[in-house]
Amino acid sequence: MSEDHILRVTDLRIAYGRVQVLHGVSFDVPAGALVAIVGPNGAGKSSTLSAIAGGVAAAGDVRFDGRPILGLKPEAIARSGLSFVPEGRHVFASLSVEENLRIGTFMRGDRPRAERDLQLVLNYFPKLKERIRQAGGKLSGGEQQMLVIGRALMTQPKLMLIDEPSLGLAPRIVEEVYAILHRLRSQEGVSILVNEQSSRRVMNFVDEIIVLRDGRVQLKGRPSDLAKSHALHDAYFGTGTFDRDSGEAVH
Amino acid sequence: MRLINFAHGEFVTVSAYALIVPTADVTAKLFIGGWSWPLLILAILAFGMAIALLSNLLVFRRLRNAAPQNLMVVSFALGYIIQNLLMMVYGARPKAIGLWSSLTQATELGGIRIPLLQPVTIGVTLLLLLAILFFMRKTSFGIQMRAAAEDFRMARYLGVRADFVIALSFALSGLLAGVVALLYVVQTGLLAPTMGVNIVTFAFIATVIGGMGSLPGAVLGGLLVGIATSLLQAYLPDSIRAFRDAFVFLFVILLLLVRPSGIIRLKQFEERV
Repeated sequence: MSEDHILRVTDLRIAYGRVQVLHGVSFDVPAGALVAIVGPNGAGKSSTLSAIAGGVAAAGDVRFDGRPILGLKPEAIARSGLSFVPEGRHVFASLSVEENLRIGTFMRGDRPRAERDLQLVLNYFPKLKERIRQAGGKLSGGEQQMLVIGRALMTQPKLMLIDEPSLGLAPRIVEEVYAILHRLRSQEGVSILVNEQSSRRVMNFVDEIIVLRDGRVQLKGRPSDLAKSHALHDAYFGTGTFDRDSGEAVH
Repeated sequence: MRLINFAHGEFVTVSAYALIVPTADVTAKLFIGGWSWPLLILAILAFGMAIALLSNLLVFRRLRNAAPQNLMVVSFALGYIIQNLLMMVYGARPKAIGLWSSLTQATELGGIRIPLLQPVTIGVTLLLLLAILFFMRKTSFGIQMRAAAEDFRMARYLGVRADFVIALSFALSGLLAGVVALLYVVQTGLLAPTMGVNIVTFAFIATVIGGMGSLPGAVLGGLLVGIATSLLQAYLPDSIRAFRDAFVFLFVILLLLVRPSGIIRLKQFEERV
């Protein structure tokens, strides 16, 4: 087992009833990297992340930090240092911003360190500091996205899984969120795996892109390499029918 | 787990029956009820918690993913089973029990003569309310419970232990059932296998009109039901006073027609569109 991979997914298979949504997906997340899974709607991206976090039953092998985690309870996986931010954010609406953040620290014994992490998170997300006493449900979409990323950080994760951080956010806010994820990766050493529908939004920020379509990995590589060829578009759409300048599908 | 636990009344009943020696005799012989008061209170509260935790362990824990309405039916069934077990051991007939009878003697308070038990009940209730508020708002367990109540799955992704939080809320409900058992037995001086049914019915009504899942709502609902009952008791003509509860229920129906989700609405209990 090589030490430089924080997450190794091998032959991951998921079925909902008789419908097979993931047909043996394999990929690695190098330690300290920011990796994006991109793919169209229904590709199996969300199912992949949920399965890794223990929210969906799956077959295959998932190793986090060298230990197999498939089949463990979600809270056990979270406690081992893998923090999952599911699609739709799931802010605790009736809890204050501070309570939302503190939830992540209760599983840790180190109170002083938790206080320092709260300050760290508030430094990363100054807007949350202004709203620390407000109910989580009162925040705007962008602020909620920052809150759930901050909340996941409070668990002191080695790896964060974030499902579609850009969903429903204005482009300017998306830039802001990714800039922060990029900083978290380089300054705090947190490995990050995100899901996105659009590869364009993540190209400039991520170290590696995995293209998922129809429950299979179609392509993996560095964004700089993929950008040069048309392979990314072919893999994404499953055909060659796309506009080469804009990257949009041609109908 | 969206459980409306109708077996809660039986948690009260069981805690109350723990006061006497288990026998089918008509006259009750004090068991825990004969102990010194601090020991008695501790023992009954522990008993309430134990029966609640046992119900979770044997029944509800196995139905974690069941629909709320199914869980409610299960809780009814559990309640009936407990009632019948109590009838088997203690007999079906109500028993008189004298516990702390000095509390029921009238005392003068601000010029009015009332049984001492009433200010004691109000005091204990206020104290418990403040304690629960503190627990829910300021302690890590309380915040975890609130988070889990709102979004159980997300709470687990943040490391909140599912089994622990659920057991904790059962323990808390059992503890409160123990308190209710003591206050109720002192007031009525009676034990009956079905004594919990009435308590839980009124508690349920209070919760519904207050607003499901809201603590302030439950308080408000309880107060409203209590005041309505007392006023009806005092001002209804003799001939129809026996139907007091029917008038209370009428009031509840009217209130729910105007505000179907109760006085205090919670977002998380509304249907998503």
